[in-house]
Amino acid sequence: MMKKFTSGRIKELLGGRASAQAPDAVEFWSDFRARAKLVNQDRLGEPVAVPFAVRWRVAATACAAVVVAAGGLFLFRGDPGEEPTGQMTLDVTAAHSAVLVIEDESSQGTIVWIVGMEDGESNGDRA
Amino acid sequence: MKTTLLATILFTAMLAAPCLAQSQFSIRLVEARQSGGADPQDGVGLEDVIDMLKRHLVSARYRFVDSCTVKLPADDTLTLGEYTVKCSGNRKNLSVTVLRFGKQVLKTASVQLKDKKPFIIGGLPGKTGLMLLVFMGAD
Repeated sequence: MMKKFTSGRIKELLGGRASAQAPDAVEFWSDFRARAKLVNQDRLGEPVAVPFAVRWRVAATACAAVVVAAGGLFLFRGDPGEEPTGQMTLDVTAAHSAVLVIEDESSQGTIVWIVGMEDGESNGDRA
Repeated sequence: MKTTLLATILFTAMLAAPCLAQSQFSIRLVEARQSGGADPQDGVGLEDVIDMLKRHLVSARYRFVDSCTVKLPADDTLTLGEYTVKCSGNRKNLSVTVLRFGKQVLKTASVQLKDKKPFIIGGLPGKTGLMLLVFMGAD
């Protein structure tokens, strides 16, 4: 069961504890200044000076990366992928008995099997 | 600086790799045999198509003979065993002419090569069995 406190009660509880433990302001800042003197503050916050040559190199490298990436994509973009012109055609020049076209559903591959071509006996087909 | 350069190279390679991979296909010459002793090389290099072949063809053994890779768009003449394969065109409209000992055996046109989906021309005569040409587009 959660205990409910009124805002007045909370202030009373916290205020009492805070006032009991609050350090003296003069003592606190005196201690802070003493600690701050131990650290060299001269260079803190100064911008880091990057030599011009380094900045130029970084910029040039970035530009080169963009150019190389763009050029690579352009040159090696691969097959432009023209739309298919139509159904596949097959012209078997050598003597043969028949042509079987088998579509495999699971692999979505195609087998074009030429039966009885030339000196080979096409006894390997099942279809 | 070196880190930046290395990151640039890696990034560029990552960008270019899929494009490079998609711009080519492979052709494998395979021998199919119904008889003969078992060969430990049977099926080696054909793991991606062996199930398909065994589902539809009765040949017991399939042996990888030769292979080559063709960049797309193609305009290449390749020698695979005793066969010469002429390829021209792109992935969606490929023409293939097959010659044996310099004599044309067949010609096919408007072949569409799909990624990792084999296109096989089989029943070609060979010395000890029937030969197959397995075309496979790269993913």
